[in-house]
Amino acid sequence: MKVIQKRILAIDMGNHSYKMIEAVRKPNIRILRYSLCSSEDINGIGFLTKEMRKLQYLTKDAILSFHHKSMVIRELKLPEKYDFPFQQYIQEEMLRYETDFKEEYDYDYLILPERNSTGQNIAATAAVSRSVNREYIDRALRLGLKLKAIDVQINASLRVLHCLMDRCKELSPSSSYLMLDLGYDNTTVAIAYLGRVFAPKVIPVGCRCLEEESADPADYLLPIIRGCGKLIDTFTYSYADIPLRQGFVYGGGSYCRDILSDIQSHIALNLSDMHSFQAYFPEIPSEMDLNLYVNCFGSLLRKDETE
Amino acid sequence: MKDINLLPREYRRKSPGRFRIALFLILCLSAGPVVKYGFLEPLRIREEKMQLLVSLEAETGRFSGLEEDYGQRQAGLEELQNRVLAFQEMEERSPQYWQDVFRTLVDSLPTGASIRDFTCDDTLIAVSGSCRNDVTSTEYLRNLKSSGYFSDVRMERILYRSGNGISFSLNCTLEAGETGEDPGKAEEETRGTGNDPGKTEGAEP
Repeated sequence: MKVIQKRILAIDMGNHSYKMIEAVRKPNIRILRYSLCSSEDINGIGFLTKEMRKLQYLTKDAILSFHHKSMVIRELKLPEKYDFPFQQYIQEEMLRYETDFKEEYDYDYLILPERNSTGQNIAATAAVSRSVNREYIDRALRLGLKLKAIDVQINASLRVLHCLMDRCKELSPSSSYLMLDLGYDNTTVAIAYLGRVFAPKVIPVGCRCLEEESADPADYLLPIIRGCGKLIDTFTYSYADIPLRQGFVYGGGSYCRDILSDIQSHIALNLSDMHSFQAYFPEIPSEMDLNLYVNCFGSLLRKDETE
Repeated sequence: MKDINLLPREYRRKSPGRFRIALFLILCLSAGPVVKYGFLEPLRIREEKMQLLVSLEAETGRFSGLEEDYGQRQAGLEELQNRVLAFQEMEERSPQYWQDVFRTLVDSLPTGASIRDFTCDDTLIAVSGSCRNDVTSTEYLRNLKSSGYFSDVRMERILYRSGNGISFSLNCTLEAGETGEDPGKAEEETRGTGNDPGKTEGAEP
């Protein structure tokens, strides 16, 4: 029976390391194996292929996720009276992006089931530089993977948060939560509210800058604190009725010394790292660090076209 | 509701559902001929052949006594053929046989003996003649007996005439089935083995 179970490989192609989880998604998620390959180890595709074989990853079907500064995530308000299909409208919007940024984009969208207060349809869109996207795709194909999807990391972590909210009664689904992904080269900050993501923002600083001997932690912390503050202000201004009291921090940067307390002291939010909620995820092995694998795990929770 | 997927369309594979449906349809379509020509048709042919075999067996059953009849007739025919051959042989050899028999009757006569009369009735030859004395007639009897042509030679009667000489009557029974072999040879063989051909049955003088 095990042989015919559909396995899937979720890969988070990070700047610092590749995180991989092989799992069976149906009927319930069952993690079979997971591993992390640091960029120092990844000298080339050959190493990773060999490593995957050594670790006995059996499936080639993969969901890929990566983060890049070219990633654009927006909610588009679709016009109420529009003669053409929404797709054309979104396409036009994307063309506008391409003209503004002088770059071609790969994009996808999702018409949200709920409308906004004015009764307009909302489309959640995500776009990424085509050249960057194709580079990651080529890399995955060279690994011999059969790509099923390319996931947006903030959406993946939002799925984990939803799952957590379902299981943890202390976390109210009607509240909003700050999400802070402390990556190696970039930091992503967003606010999750009512099953959506509010204005995710990529701050081009990462914990890499702390590795230098002469590094000043303020250079790392200040842009993040500033970005978080701005986002919180904008959100509370737009959604004053949705309380925002808690934030979740994850990513490799969450292990930097005193980082949580430092940020918390500036933004006046109760911050917790994702791994502290691991008890709510019995499907995750106890040794698996949720801070590092949250995007990977979130990719396993995605709903694909075939499902 | 599906999630956002940044994998471009050209990299996406066709839906496995559709693929499975297509595969299922192809299998269904190909299953018909396979079942028909792979299973049903051979079964039908086998059934037909079995029926044909049964009908042929039934037809052959009706003539089951024919073989026995043929055997009997064949045996009868062989017997008849044998008879015909025997008759042919008999016809072919009879003149020589009788000639030999008569020559034996004549040649066996000792000096001073003569045959007056003889009759032949199937296998019995009655010879009557005359000679000087009974010793000569007895010698004649012994000669005939030892000739091998007769299974039995009997002296039926000896008449002593008033003058010199006697009349005698002999009954000679021909050897049964004596057709092919040369009795002369047999006689020689008998003599060679020391059998005494002199013993005669009948009246002594």
